[in-house]
Amino acid sequence: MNPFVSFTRKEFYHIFRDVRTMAILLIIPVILIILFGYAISTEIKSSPLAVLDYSRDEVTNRLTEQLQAGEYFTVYRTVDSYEEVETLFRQGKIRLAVVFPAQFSSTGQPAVQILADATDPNEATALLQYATAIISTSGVAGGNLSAEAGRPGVVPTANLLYNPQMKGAYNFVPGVMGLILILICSMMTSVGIVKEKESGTMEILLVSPLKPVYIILAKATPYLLLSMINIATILLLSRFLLDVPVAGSMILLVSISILYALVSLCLGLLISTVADTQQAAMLISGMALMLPVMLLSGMIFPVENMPWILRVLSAIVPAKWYIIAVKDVMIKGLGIEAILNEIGVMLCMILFLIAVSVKRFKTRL
Amino acid sequence: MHVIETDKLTKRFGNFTAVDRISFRVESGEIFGFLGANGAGKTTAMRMLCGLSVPTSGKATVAGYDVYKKSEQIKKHIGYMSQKFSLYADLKVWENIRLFGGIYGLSEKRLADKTDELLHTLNLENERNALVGSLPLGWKQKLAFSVAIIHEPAIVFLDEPTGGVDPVTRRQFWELIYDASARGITVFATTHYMDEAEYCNRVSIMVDGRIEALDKPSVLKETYHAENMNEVFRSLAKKATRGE
Amino acid sequence: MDSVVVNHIVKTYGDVRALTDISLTVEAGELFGLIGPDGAGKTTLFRILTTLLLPDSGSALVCGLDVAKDWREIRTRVGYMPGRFSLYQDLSVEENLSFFATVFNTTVKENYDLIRDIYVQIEPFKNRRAGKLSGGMKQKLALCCALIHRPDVLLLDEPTTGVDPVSRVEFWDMLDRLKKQGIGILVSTPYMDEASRCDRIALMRDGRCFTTGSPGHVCQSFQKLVYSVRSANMYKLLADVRSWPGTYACYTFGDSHHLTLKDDAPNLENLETCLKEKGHTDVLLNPVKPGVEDCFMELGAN
Repeated sequence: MNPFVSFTRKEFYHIFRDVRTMAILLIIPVILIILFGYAISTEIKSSPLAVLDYSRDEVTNRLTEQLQAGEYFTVYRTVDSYEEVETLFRQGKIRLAVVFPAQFSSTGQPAVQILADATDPNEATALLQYATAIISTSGVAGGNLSAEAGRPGVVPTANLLYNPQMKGAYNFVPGVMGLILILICSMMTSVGIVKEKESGTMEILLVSPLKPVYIILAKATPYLLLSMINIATILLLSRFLLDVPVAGSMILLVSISILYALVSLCLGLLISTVADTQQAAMLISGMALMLPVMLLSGMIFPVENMPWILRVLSAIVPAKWYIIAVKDVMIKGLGIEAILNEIGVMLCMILFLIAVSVKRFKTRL
Repeated sequence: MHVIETDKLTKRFGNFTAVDRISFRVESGEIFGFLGANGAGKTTAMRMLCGLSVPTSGKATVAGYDVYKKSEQIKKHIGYMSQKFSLYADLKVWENIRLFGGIYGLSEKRLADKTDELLHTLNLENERNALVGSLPLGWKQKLAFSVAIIHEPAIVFLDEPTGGVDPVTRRQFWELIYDASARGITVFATTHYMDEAEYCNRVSIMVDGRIEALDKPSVLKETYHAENMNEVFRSLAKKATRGE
Repeated sequence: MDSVVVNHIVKTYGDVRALTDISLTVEAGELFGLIGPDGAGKTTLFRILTTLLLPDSGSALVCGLDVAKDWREIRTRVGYMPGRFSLYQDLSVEENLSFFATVFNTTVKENYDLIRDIYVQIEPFKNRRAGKLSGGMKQKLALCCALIHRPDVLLLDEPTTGVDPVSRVEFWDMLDRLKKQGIGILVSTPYMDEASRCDRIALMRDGRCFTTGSPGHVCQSFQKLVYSVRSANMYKLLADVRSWPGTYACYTFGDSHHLTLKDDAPNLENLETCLKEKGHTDVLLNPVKPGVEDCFMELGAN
């Protein structure tokens, strides 16, 4: 039999016989999707809100009802004074307060004051936007305002493209894909190769006519396959659980995933030439790959707002380019011409990593 | 008094009987050789006696404590050393001594005295601050043995303590064992070196989970019409049917 | 053609001299033993011969090929068993064997005749995972794997360490049969008693090769007279013999102590009297032929 086939089969034996690890690898994407989709959602849902209404007329009542009606807010309490609002903020009972001044609807220029707890600035900004949006589109204040003032107010219309409901899933599904691929391909490949070093079997393999490139390819193949299963799991979950369909070409999406998986495999290979123990391999892939993917890829924090040094660093994180490409194809439904840049960057990375790893892969001890 | 006493001690894993009704006694201060081929059940038996594994049936007491109920007490009164793990390679010599002394609850003062005494006996005074990993295997094993008996246990279990050690150091190791035994510490040792079996007061040979022979080396040699323990061992171990 | 030729090899790791000027030759069909304890440098020598390490200076030929230049070719022609059990613990006996066969571009069937004698002993367990085998079985499997591509030279690094005496004898019987097929075998062992199974041996210690030759020749080169001493109290005897002025060295040796003396015309009656005065009974004092272990102990003493 062909040594390569035989070696690959052996790798599958290793994976299938370590049932626990395999189960973890298959379940991780499911857990991540559920975690990001439901538990650590960045979307606003049912934020507690206090209303301080000095006016108490029909219009303010309707506005309060509208705030309550959407899925974003629940009116925690209607209060009578600023002191009360402050107390509620301090106790952490509310995230937002809306103040209607006296004679709200009868004044020429009705103004609403919105107070937000800005200890979490991102959330505060989002809450303010939602509340403003609800009030200004309610047709109550704005309608009255323009009509009674007799001059046409400039009413900006904002359209959210590609993700009209501002669903977090559009952002994190590509992120999770980037994370999983690097996890499986880099970490498992490096651990797999280092394991052979640790157990002494590498010594025998080196003393055989088997070419190192076979060893590497055979190690990589099963994990490439496994990661594709994971990508399929993620896409199915996001389609049917999170209602995030693939807008663009499926073939293109899978192709860039394979490309990115190859980058990850090369990274894993590089790690295996540095690490001597499985533990070290695990730590290096954890620290050097997972963290940058989480922090610098734009998956959780927007890269544009980072200091220039981090922005530069983020450019060498492969996941950043992959995530951009996935968003373009999956969410925006763009074609290959839109992501040539990203594909180019990833190809360069592969070439560079292969060159370095092959140079570093020792044919001796 | 018998430091170890077993009666039909048995351990089964599923339908595989690793240790099959072994009964024997070890006297206080005795050097007891526990021989057997690979897979004969030595390690399993030793684990039960150290309180690490619960027997399937039978009785056993170690240092007067029942292996079923008093395994924690047993652990306080025994020392253990194996070929595979003995000391932390990335700790210094004195740090290892302090660590194990501390584990067995020696006082600061006693620990300091013991450390000096031990380094002196082993001629390791200059290596006090050396990492254990940098010592030759033989020195490591001698140190490991001394550390295993730092709390003056009633009995010390040695699992192939001299594998791969050079002949000179191997003999020095056995002289340490003699010293310990002269101080009243019972020594229970496994080995694959048959000349070492001769150094034991009594020797048992396990075959397929059972103790096939147990006596003084001289008596065993007579019984099996053998010139040395190697021949005794081979004539017994050949009977093994457990193709393990 | 000689299977292995080693010429003045030196290897250092940092400040540590692992090998100092090692030279030896293993002929085809010869069983050559490297006898020495852990840390003698045996493993380093094996790694140089298997082309896994490069020597600092000196040269070595395996099957007539240079270890530095022709390493690719050498790797197809040697069978190597590293010191540690180095097979896949989670693969079965059969899977390990067929895996290593394909790695060397061959099949189990093709070379079955070479390993048959050994393989039949582990065949009943061919579906068992290698990690679950006993020590002796593991070594037999590892030997099968090292032989599966019909190598010209076998390099075995401590194949019997930790293996019980019965399995050890079986293992050496196999090596005997293999060398008859013309395979040159270089094997290392810390067990001195195994030296007698070799055609020639080299005593190794601290990176140096001392006496080289047939076991008989090595023993004959031992200069001093050796006596075995026994009495009823062996432990006390050791200290008492050592305190006798004429004693050069005395150490335990199985059921007796071996004694070497300072001068060639010893006054042994004096020793016997001395021992009896110290309360020893049943004193037995006999000259014995020195063995490999005695020679080795002498190296240690120097």
